[in-house]
Amino acid sequence: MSETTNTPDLFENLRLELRRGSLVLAVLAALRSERYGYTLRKTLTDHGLEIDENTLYPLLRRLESQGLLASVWREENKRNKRFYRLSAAGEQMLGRLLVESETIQASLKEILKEQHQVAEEQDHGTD
Amino acid sequence: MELIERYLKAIEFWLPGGEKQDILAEISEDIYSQIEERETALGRALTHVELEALLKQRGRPMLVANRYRPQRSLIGPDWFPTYIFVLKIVGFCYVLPWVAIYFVIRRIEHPEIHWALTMLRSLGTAWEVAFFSAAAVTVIFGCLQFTEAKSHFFENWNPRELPAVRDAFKIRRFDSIVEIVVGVPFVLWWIGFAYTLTPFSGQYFKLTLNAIWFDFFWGYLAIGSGNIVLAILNLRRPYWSLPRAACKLAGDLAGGVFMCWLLKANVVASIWMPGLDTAKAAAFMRWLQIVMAQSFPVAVILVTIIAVVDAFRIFRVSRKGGAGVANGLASAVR
Repeated sequence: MSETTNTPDLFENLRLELRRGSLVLAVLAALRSERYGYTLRKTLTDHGLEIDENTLYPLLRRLESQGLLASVWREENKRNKRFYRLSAAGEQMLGRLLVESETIQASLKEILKEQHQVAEEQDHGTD
Repeated sequence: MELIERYLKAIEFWLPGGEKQDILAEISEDIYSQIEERETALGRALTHVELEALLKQRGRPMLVANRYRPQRSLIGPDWFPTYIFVLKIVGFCYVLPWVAIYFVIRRIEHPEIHWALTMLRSLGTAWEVAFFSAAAVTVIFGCLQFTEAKSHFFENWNPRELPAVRDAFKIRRFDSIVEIVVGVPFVLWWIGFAYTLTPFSGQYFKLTLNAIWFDFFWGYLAIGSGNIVLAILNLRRPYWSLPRAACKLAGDLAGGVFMCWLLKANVVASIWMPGLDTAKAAAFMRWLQIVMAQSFPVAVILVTIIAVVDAFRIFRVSRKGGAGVANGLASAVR
């Protein structure tokens, strides 16, 4: 095994890459109930999906411009906050993306299962 | 909180026009929410240093603002490798030769100036050529990137138009034939023209060489003949790529050494032209000797460059795979 495959930087990069694709899904899922940016970030972090504000807010604006989210400015605790919520189109999109995500997970499990069987057969062969 | 205002103002400068206030309000709210949470956890107000650290952790204002802009680039990732490739070609095939030619011309025009100073001057002007060449290439690739959406260059391609796969270890038959077709007339011409101490002996011009010229004659004849023999061998042994590369290095080095020696050897004995008196002829001879002597460093540099290129070729051929080279050597000894 090469040295680079063990470096924490490489793992961190690959981990971020892996998570990036899931973030949209997580944001859409979390916004089934109305939240403003900061509480949304906290919710995601509490569930193990840390996202920095410089990624989250532009992402929210993009999803809103694509019609998947709706937002409204409202005063809460004497401060104006922008509350986001999943739109009807967003709800539909979330459903489709969840199916896609489950398909990917199932495929991955299938591949791993197959590889495991091949490895076991090889082990028996060498015994 | 003055620090936060300054931070927001700095972000505002880089934000896209129409949404500035909306984005700023949201960023501001997020910062204040974060501060509020920290202060609640600590049970006190944040210090100036803690606030500074919090803002620093959020990132440089320009970068924060850039996240709200659509991703744009002058040359995108699709074109970038080609852009770098073309820049390298321009550097090696235009800028470097330009510097070399400029150096040679300056040496001939001003042989009295030390060659190191002339080299410095050549390098001093090289940056202008490099800068404008790089700018031109960048503009062209910028235009290609800009028009990509309309031209669909990367989508419109045909697999049938891809170049045929070439065996890297096989010397092309065409190359060997060209070497023979060029080499044989050259050697014949060399024997007929250069085996004399008066290669130019006409009504209007006569050049007489010293006897040392014959050493060069035989040297170049040996190199030229060697190249022809090598090309004939390569026709029979197309996988002789590594020995061929080594022979090329030896031949080019020998030719280069001969050339450097020629410049130092005072090979011209006399020059005659109608109306050229002895004093003028002597002055011309002196000038010729100076130019030849001054050209020596240029020749050394050129020989070194050629040798490095040849050595790199050997390295490349041997690196491309032991199996291929082994096959080549096996084919060579069969």
